[in-house]
Amino acid sequence: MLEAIIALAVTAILLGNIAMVQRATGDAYESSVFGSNLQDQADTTMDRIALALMSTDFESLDEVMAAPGFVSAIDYEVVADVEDGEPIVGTPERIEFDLGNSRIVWKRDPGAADEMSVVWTKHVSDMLEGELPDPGDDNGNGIVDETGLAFNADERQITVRLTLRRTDSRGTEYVRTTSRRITCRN
Amino acid sequence: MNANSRFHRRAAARADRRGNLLLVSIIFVMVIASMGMVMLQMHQSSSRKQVQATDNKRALYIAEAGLAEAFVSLAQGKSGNIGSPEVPALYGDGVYWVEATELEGDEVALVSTGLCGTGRFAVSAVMERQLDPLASLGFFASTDVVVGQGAQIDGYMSQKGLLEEQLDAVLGLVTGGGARLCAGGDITVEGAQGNGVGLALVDQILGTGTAIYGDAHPGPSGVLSQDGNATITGSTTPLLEVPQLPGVEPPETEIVTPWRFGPGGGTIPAGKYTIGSGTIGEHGKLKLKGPMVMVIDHLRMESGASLQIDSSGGQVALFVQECLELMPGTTFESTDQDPTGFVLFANGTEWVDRDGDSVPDPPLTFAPTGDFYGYVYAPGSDVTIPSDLHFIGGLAANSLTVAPGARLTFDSSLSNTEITVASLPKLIAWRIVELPDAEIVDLRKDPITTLKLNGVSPIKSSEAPLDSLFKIRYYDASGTICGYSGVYGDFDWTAVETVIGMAWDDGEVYVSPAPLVGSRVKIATTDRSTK
Repeated sequence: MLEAIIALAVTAILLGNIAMVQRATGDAYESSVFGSNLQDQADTTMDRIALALMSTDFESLDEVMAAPGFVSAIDYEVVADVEDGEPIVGTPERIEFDLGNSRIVWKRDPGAADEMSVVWTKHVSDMLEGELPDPGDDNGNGIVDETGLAFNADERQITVRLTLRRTDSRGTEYVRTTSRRITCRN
Repeated sequence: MNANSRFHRRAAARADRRGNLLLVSIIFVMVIASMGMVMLQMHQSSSRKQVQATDNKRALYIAEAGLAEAFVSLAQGKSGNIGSPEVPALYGDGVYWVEATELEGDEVALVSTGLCGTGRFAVSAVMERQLDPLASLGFFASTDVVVGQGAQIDGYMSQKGLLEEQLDAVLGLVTGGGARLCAGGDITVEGAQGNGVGLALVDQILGTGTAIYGDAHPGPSGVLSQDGNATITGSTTPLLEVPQLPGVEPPETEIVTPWRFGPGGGTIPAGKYTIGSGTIGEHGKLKLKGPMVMVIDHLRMESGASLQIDSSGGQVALFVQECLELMPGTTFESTDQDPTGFVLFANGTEWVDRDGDSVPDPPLTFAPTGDFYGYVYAPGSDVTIPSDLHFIGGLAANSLTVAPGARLTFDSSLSNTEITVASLPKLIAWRIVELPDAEIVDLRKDPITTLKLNGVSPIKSSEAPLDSLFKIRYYDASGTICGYSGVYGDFDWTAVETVIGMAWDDGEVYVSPAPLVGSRVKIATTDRSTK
């Protein structure tokens, strides 16, 4: 009987240790992977935005304001071809921040009957990291009260800022921010 | 007995449990190992995505570097082709190649494909070759310009009508504006002639003052010297840069019509001609009818001889390759008084004793009298405009001296002609394009490793332009004209003192002529109304 009790106790300790190790490892991994995935998601979205805006003509992006102003949606047209020495632009496109659903949506031919839209990412923060919903530039980047996706013009470049914010199953919040200056090639 | 029996039972029980713990341990190990494998795979998958994204970005930037290299190539007068899918150019950790396609007009479509690791990207740029109108510089000298006493320089626009119709009502003999005088070095403007009264306005009205009715631009580091009673009405700011004057090779005269003219001259109909040499004697008259391209090694016009240009049907382009002698008293006639209708290329550069007096004679003697309508391009010559000549049109030479009392009138309509020098290409459109169909693209493996396995060494980016064959004419240190035709990399540049002309040849596209800095001169030989 005594042997059985000792054996059970040892087994329980072993199992407990294994469980603790597994849990600690799992937590650490999940935390790392969660944050890493969110960063990947931000980078991938930024790559898509950059590639879309690269093929545009800066002069056509007149609605994009210079700092401290910004816009959270951008309408653009990419160069599709050249005819008789003149660039031919394709169907109008739009990248916009859907605040209600915290996502970035790319639209082709926006507003038209055959509008096509694709969600490029979810979990977009309402405000850019460090910015608070009060007057003023809280995060010191020169833009005032910018949203989680913000475009602003800088010389002949467009600066894009993006913050993704997500909470895991244990209630830990992860925030990833990325920004890029894009030169319009046309 | 009882003790013996208990021992046997315990032994039997231990035998039943033997290996159980091992089994449990193995199961635990397998569970842990499986979890580890899953985590590892997830991590690898995430890493692969990150590596792929990074490779794609690097491939994009390598492709853009390819476009930049092709841009430079175009600016140098090359075709823009760089490397190939089979032997691409090496750049950083990746490779690229650029395919150039000539489009209509002066446009070129460049498609640059960049490969790095597993990343692939192709971008396209349509560039337009730019040509700055050389003739817009008016009367231009690569070095210095001297304007003699009492010389008068003005300008007009032949497209608006005849010169007489555009003369200033007060000044009478001049238009009072539109002059353009440019130099790579200094400009010296001497004062009024001896019989001038010394008051600029009065001298202008009397035609005795030295006057430039328009702009006079010295070179970037040049100086404009002006006597007190000389007048310059326009801008005198220095040029920002000095355009190179490339040597010009005449266009191919595929159909060469044998034609000869005697000392008495004659009329040569429109066409393309290559003639060895010719002399128009005293009172002889040679009439050239456009459109015409005439290439002649040596042309001499004796005093009293006349050259008549009929450009009503098209431009007359006269290429004098070795020596042009327009002796004092030679006259020109232009049937439609249109400076854009006659372009004279004086390509000679060698001083040779031609009259047997043991004194070398210049490749260009320009001493006609009367009115001359046309554009003279003499990059290797020092030109003096004689006192009794009214030169209407434009000129580019090594140096320019305007003799006292001579008159120059710049025709700004020449700016719209194809007398041009190449400048940097202009971007028309940039876009991302589909990847080309090539084996190295389809294989999603590191391109450098793939090429190595195939025994191919990518070329260094700087050596990858396909236009490796070229021709060049140049002066060496002793002033001798030399030539070379062959591989660009094999050419010894230390022997070059001054480049006369240079042309690239990639086996498909021949860009001609193009000097060291990528300039070139085009001429319109058939239809002047197209540009």
